[in-house]
Amino acid sequence: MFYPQEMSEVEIIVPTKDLLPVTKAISGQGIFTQTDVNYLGNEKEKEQNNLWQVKATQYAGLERRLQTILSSLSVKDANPKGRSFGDLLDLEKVTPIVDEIENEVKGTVESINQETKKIEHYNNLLQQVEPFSDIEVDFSELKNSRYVYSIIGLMPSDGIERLKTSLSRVPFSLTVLSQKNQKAAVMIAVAKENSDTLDRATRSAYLDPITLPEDQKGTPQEISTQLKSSIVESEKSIAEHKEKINDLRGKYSSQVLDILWDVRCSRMSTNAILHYGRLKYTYIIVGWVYQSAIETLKEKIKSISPDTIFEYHTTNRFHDSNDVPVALTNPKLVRPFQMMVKMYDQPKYSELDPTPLVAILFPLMFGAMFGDVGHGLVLAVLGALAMSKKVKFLKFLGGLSPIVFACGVMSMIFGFLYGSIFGYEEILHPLWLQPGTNIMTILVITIVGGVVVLTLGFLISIYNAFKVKDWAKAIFNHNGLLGLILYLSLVGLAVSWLASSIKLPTMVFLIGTIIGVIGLMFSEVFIRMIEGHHPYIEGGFAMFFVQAFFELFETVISYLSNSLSFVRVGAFAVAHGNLSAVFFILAEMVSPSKGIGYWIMFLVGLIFIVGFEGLIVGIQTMRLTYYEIFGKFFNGGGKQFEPLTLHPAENE
Amino acid sequence: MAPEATSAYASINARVRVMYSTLLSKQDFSNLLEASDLDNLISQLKHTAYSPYLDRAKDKQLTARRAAFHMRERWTETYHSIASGIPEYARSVFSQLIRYYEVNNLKAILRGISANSDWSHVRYVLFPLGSDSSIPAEAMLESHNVTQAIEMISNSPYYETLSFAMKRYSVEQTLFPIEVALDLDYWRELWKEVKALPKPDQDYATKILGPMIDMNNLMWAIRYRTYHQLSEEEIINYTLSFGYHVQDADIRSIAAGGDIAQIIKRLYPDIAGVDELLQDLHSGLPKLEVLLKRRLLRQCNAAFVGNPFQIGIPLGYLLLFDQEIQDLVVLLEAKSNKLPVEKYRSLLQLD
Repeated sequence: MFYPQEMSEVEIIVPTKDLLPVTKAISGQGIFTQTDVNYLGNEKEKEQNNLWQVKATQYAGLERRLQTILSSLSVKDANPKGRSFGDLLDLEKVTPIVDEIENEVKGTVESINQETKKIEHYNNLLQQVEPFSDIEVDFSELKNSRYVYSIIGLMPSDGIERLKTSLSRVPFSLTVLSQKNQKAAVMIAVAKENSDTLDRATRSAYLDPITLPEDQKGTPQEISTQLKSSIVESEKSIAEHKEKINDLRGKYSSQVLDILWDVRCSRMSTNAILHYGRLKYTYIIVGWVYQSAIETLKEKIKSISPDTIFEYHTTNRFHDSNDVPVALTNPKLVRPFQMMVKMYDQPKYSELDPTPLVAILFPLMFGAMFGDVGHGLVLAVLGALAMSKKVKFLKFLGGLSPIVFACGVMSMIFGFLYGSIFGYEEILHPLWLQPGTNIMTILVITIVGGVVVLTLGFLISIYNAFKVKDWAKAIFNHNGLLGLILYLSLVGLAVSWLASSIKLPTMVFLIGTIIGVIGLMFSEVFIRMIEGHHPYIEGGFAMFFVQAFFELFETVISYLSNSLSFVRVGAFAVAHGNLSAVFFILAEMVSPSKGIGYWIMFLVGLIFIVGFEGLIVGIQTMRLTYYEIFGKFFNGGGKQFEPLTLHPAENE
Repeated sequence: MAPEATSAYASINARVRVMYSTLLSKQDFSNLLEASDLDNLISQLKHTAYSPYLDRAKDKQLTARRAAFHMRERWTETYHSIASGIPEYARSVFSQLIRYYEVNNLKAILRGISANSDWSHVRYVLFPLGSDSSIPAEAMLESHNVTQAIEMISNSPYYETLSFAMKRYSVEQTLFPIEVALDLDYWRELWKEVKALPKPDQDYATKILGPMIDMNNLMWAIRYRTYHQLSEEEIINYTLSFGYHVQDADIRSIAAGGDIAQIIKRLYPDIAGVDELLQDLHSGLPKLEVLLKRRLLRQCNAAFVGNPFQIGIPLGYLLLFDQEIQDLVVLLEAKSNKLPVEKYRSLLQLD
């Protein structure tokens, strides 16, 4: 539980005839992750590999076509219930079926698209014609005029005067038909021999001439009527085609979903096989398996294929384990917090998995900051509803819902300790203390809590380093043994100084501080001495001393800031009560007689506190977890365990 | 003038005069011209008011383009410092003034898309406007499509103008109509804002911005005729109908094929040697532009003499400052390309 799942590296040599059953056996349980070894094997077998590549491409192509069909039929891509995966799909059999469905669906969809495009075209023409709808002139007649050349169109209103100026050397007639939104509909006419001049002038004045197809004849009003009736016809045609799509959906949707499932399974299987090594009559499968499941898997494979050779070895967790994939397998209660760890980084195979620690500390710190029975209950109910997946609007919480639930429960517990329910601090008797009236006490307690948590962080860091035999880090690092001695000694000195009534062994702390300071300042020298490197000091003593001093200074400052950071836990506990009090004051201002206005304000406060304050407290808790706690011991950088699956549902 | 405007201008006047004193002197420019190479030029600039801006990038990263980008950041910050103290009624002129750089950025982005450039190439070409810009520059460039990029700014003030220009772009597949439409719209809006100012400020702003509009309009008309060989009606539609010294009749005369040298001599009798200058228009036009810019800068400097409570002082300073940066960019590019001084000295305005 405290380390990632123990892994063994396996090498399986499978006869070609048993390839698919063995592939199915190693997948699907989430215990095997594949290593790409397609470089293993004979050059001669490359041709066979190419055949798998071709197959994989064909399956992928078919999958895309089926997805397009589903999208055309407006059917949601879903996995059929209870369908199992048998053999690889025979492409020769299934392709004609897909072709037939595709042709039928595609034809109808194309007809809809054509009609939609027609409507778009008609609407464009309508947009051009509508500014001219008041004019009783047949556009087609103007176009065919013998002596006069005219242009009708839209242009920027700002340019009309300039256009007139530009035409001043030829006789012309310019009529502004209408003006709206800086756009003017204009008609300009010149003698036929001046048509070039007019073309140049109108083009440079950004006039957009109206362009109607030859078949659109009559006045703008008549053309507009024709276009509108064409639009109605196209819409009718689209409705008919959509009806046909409905029929096709009923006829084919389940068949297409079934085929899609089979194609996906086949595609995933061929993709897996592509990563195998290939010998003349056998395939080589290499990967990592949960150590606990290795014997079961071996037996299973042997029962399917007695000729298969199955070999494995378990890597020492603390030596050369950088390539080992990391699978976190915590108990069900703790598992939701894995997400928070992974958001920071994937732990290394050799280091302690911080998930159990997060599972305890995160709700604890949240609860301490947001201690209220009522508000905690609301959070817990929201978390529980989100976990049940029955309330749609809470779906956004996703994997966070168990964490919200845990935080809610812990807030309730602290609510009882603080004697607070929905912000009322007079109803419940506090089992411990009320933060608002014991501000200094709560702040000091949270700092002490912080010191305990940080000490735990130091200890884990030292333990991790010891386990991998990184002695330099375990002893001389600022999060190592000397760091811990210095930190605790400084804490001891601070307590002796601030609380002189408490009798503490100040001399011990002073010696501890001196050891810590010297140890950390000269850590580099000690490490070089242990490792036998010369010279012990590089770049001169003065430079070394200045650098070491500032590094030590930074370390001490970081100890101080890390510890004081936990003050926020107490501060938020105090702020929670005060924020509730603000809403009570507002509620009494709205309705002093505690009428409906009071309770509306109470509700607004409840939403604000649970939503907004809850979010801020969550962010602060996450900050403490990531920066103050993880920063002490968690390195990360592990390789994610990605189980092989041939099953689309499992892949999700 | 309202008392609050007087007090606002009094404070602006004091601040701008301090800033005015930080403009580089002729001696500074002479020293910068002497810089042996780009690194030397940048190290000299690090002893000027540009130092904190150049320090925003590591020395290794300071190419000519990157250095120019950071120096322009100083302009943007100065603009904010000035614009925040301008009386309410005159703010729209300053808002429109900074849009000039946004229009140029927009044009640069569209050119970047046409040239299939990536963001790392275009980023430092853009004027650093920060939150003043509503253009999603990177997203536009990465759309790799002019039409899609324009759709991304459908809520900007440029969209309406661009909607007509885009129709031409879709047919002609050249950015020319888009750029012309953006320019015309910009200067028309600026002129409108100037004309909306109350009387004394309107006159002061016209004295600064009018010559700028004249210069642009005149150069457009001449270039459209000589470089692009556009027809009379096209030149008229692609130019502005208003100006300060340059009137519509002058532009129309150029469009109709009038003698350019004669028109320039009539408009600017103080410019000597116009005939020789414009004998070869291709080489003469950049020189003419330099002379017109120098006249404009004299006008900006003149704003600092006389009435201290007026808009001309901050406007004049911002233009002078912008010109200083333009000159420094010329220097940076020249040093970066190891050009001899005589090749670019004549292009500097503050020389």
